[in-house]
Amino acid sequence: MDDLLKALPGLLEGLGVTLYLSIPAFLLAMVLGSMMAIFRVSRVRSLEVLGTLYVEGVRNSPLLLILLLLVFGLPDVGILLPLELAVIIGLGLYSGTFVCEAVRSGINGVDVGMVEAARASGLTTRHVISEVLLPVALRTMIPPLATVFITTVLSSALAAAVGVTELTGATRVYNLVAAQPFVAFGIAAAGYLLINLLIGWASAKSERLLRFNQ
Amino acid sequence: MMTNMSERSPSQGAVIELKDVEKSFGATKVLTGVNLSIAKGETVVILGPSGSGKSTLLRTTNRLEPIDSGEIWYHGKPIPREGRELAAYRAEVGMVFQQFNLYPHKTAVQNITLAPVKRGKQKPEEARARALRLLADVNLSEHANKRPGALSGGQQQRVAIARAMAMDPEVILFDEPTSALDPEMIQEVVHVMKRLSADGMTMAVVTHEIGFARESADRIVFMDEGRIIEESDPESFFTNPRTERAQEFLGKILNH
Ligand SMILES: Nc1ncnc2c1ncn2[C@@H]1O[C@H](COP(=O)(O)OP(=O)(O)OP(=O)(O)O)[C@@H](O)[C@H]1O
Ligand SMILES: [Mg+2]
Repeated sequence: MDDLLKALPGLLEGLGVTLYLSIPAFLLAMVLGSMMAIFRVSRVRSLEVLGTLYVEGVRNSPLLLILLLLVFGLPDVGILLPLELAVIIGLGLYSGTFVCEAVRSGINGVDVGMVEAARASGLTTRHVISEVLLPVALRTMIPPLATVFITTVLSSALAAAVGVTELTGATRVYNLVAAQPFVAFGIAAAGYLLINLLIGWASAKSERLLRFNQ
Repeated sequence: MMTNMSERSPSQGAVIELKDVEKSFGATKVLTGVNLSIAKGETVVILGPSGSGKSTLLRTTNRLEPIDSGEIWYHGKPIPREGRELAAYRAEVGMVFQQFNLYPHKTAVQNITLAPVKRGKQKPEEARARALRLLADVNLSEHANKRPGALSGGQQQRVAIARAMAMDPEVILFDEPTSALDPEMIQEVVHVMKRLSADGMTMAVVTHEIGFARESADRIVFMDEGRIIEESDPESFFTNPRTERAQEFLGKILNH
């Protein structure tokens, strides 16, 4: 128990690092993924190809491979990034493919008739997108995007493998001293659970707020 | 050459005129040599069996579908093909759909004010006041701030008609506005349409509501396999259809 109290600051710091990695990574994924999704539904051939290459290329590699490439490969060609930044970029690139698919199916799921009604009313393409297509699509995207966020948080554990002491890494350090793997990793699991419950709660809340039939 | 030119010039007073319009989807020919002119204040009812091209005819009129050949004129000018000009044209041509197609994230009032405000036609407060008057006209004052999900089909369709009216359209295209409604709601929508027609709105209406057609149509257009094969006043069409296809069609719907 004493050991645990002593280890707590380290574990909390690990939890902080996990957030520090996964929140910016998710934001990067949102920006990149939304852009790529718009490319993929743009009906502009070159943009569609770019979007498809990104999704298929990145999603079909193990995240660990991407992280190893960014952390150990880039310096080899003369690009030196801070370790955390490299992890954030890798994680963002990877999660971006799932954001892309969530946004794309959200857009494709919007009732065509409604978009036609907007066009038929004389709205310009810009207003059809900003006033009708995106607001309606966004609501259907909230649950899948929350899932991507949760996956991003869990995937950030792989950062431990390239030497970042986030929650999983911190737990491993603690376990080396205390040799109580079930306690140690149980605490880490509780940490992840806490973050993910928060995300799930926020998702359900915003979905309720934006619900159509009120 | 000269005769060809004069043949192709738009007729006087027509709001919308289609000339030799052809349209295919892939290998399927959907519109063949369609000629139709709709005069100011006229109510034209378009009848025909399923798949005869009625929806496509309406959709080409506001260019939700481009045509392969032929011409469509609006007040004597070819309709724009794309961009801002097309949007400006569509702003003057209302459309009411079978599935209502209201914006689910917006209230009834917001559904109505969106286009007038975004197009800079009315200021927000002005548009809102106008929307409330339009909703009162269709008996929906107490539902002004509800979203479509909280309205019945008949109520949604009346909001959709008010939405079309908000742009002060030159003409409104109706594509089976009552086909998705429960029987008890059909009449409330038909009632609104009859009044619009009586007030002199220019309308092209695809419908199976024979009551509406008999009472409000100035002209019946009967389509079959992508062609207009009969065009006459409602009285002669319903009592004495000339083509066999129209007789068959009427036999089917009147026995329902
Ligand atoms: N987007 C499309 N792609 C391919 N074929 C289409 C498309 N829209 C319509 N068609 C075909 O064109 C023909 C005419 O369709 P349209 O919807 O205009 O008929 P309709 O007279 O409105 O029929 P209904 O009474 O069933 O609504 C049909 O054979 C239909 O299958
Ligand atoms: Mg149809």
